[in-house]
Amino acid sequence: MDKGNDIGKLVGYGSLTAALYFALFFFERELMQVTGRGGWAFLIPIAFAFAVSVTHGAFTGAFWDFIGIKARK
Amino acid sequence: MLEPVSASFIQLDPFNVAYLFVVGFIGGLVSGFIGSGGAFVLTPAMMGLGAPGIVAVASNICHKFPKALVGSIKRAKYGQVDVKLGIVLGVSAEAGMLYGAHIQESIRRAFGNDGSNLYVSVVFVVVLALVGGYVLRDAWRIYRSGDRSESETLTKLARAVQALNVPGTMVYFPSIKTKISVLVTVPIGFAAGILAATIAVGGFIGVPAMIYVLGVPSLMASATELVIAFIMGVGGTIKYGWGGYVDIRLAMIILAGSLFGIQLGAIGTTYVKPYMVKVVMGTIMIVVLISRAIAIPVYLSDLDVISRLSADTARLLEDASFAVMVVALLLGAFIILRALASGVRASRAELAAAAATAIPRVPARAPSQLSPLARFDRILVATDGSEFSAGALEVATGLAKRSGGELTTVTVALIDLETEGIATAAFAHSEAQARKALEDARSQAHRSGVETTTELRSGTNPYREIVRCADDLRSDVIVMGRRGRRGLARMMVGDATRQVIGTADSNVLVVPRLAAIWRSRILLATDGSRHSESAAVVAARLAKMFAVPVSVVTVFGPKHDEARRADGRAAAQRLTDALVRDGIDADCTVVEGEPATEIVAFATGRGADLIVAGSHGRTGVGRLIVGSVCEKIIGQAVCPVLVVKL
Repeated sequence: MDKGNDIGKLVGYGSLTAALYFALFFFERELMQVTGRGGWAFLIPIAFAFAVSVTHGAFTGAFWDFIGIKARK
Repeated sequence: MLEPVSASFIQLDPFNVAYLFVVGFIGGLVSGFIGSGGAFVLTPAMMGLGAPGIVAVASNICHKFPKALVGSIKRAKYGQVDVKLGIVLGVSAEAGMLYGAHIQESIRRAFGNDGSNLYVSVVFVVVLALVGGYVLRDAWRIYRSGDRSESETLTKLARAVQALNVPGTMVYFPSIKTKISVLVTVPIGFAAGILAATIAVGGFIGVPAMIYVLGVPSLMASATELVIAFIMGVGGTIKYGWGGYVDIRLAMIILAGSLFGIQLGAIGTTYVKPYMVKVVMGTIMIVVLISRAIAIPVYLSDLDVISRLSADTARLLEDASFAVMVVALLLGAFIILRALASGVRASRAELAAAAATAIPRVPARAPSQLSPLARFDRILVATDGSEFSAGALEVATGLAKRSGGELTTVTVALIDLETEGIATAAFAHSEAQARKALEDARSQAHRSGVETTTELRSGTNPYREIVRCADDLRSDVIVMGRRGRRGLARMMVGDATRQVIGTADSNVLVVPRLAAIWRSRILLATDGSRHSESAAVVAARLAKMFAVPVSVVTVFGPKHDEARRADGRAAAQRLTDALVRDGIDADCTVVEGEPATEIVAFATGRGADLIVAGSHGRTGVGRLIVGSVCEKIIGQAVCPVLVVKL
């Protein structure tokens, strides 16, 4: 039961994270132009950082758990 | 024609991306292992690739604040965050940060990127020399004295600060348990802010200042630092982002690596002796310091402060600086990973040895009935020692007393992988709290005339450990509290409670803080499904056990048509008739309106002090979803709610 959920979480969050990074580099030039201008474009890095920290944070947690590296109890 | 990208942003090739990812990973590893500030390797690493100092600092701050937010929310759940202190320091740090960023920009305008680099490097060298030296001295002291327990005594300075009384400026802080003048906290926050704006490691001042100057316990200091880091991080990112200095690619690549590293580093601390953490911290700081110091003459020469270096000499110095940095990173990573590997091996060997000698657990006596559905032979009550568990404990002892079932009390010592670098201390603290909670529960049960066995589990997920414990003990019912809340939040059930209901095989009894064992009436909520029939069996058993009547309630909303209503009415009546045939005083009521609200209102109106409902337990992912009606009932009810699993 746990194992299935763990793999689901790993794959789910992993795919979401991969999609975010794909978007980042696919639109690299446009993003760099807009954010480099400053002003309200600051919202882009903030929103992106939040999204990545949520999905990628959950993914890495599941990843270490999955390969069996856990804190000593 | 596309407009050109800002000249501040460097070109990224696959090598650079891989390098930043690895540096992020190692920075995270170091951060997770030694506490705040893996940034002191991240900022120079970005500068090493040619990013101007201000872009490196801006991108570093942008990658850091979401991590701080996630971490501080997590640790606030364990009561480690002094939000008030965090906000007071955070706001003054924000001011310091804006001032620091202003200095940075003025320098960049006046002296260009080289001036900015020189300034950042010099501050780095000075801060790392001071802090790194102090940390290494401290590590040496701990190593020599052999004192591994870091007892927390107030420093003389903290005592003096706490004694200081300036009328009109005193604010009470829960973590210090006394009033402190804001005339002390504001400069501390301001200094941390300036430092953070300059080298992105404000925690180097914030945490030690909170511990040594204000007298905040170290565990709370590092947790509160996350609030400050978040406030400053958002402010800093807006400030730098507004100026167009945040390189989102650099920030995100580093974030990707560091999230892997930070968790691994925190796990690592649970396998090493505390002084080792300080040895690694001090060593890395000093080597990074050397790396930055080597590069300073190059910036000085570019600014014509010293005589011009030849191109070869400048390149040699820059290469040497870069190489030393790589050595610092690899050295740190090597020490941590080696400690982790040998620790994990030893721990696995220990566990294997323990498993080989462990005696399998067998239920102590034969079950009172074969079907586990309405059985109450083994009762598991989960407590966290807080007031929210008090009701659960009381109801569990009442149930055990009446059913004659065995009572076990479980609590979970949390291992939090995001308590950067203080995982060992955090876990010891968590374990001590857990033991105390169990001891309190044992004596409370004893006073009620029930003996309870206790189980101390540890893990990163409280709900998972509770469900595992219930599986191991083959518990018939899990009794647990519901986070007591007010207003809108009251409608929501605590995360752990929801997850336990979603994943447990046994029934779950959720008890509000002030609830007691039922003595008046049981309300059986039915929707005509098979789940409701299971719930009816359990309600019947409890009604007999406690000699109380049962009210069968079914609720229809506007979307139900006449046929559905007729079916529902008939089903409710069937259940009621069955209960009456079983010798139970039962009645049947049909109500119109929003199901959860009506059920709770009916319970209050009729004086029912237990609500029994079937869960719509599913398999797979859906299994985690508790029926929304059931969840709302739990959220609103003032009496215990028993969720029956099919």
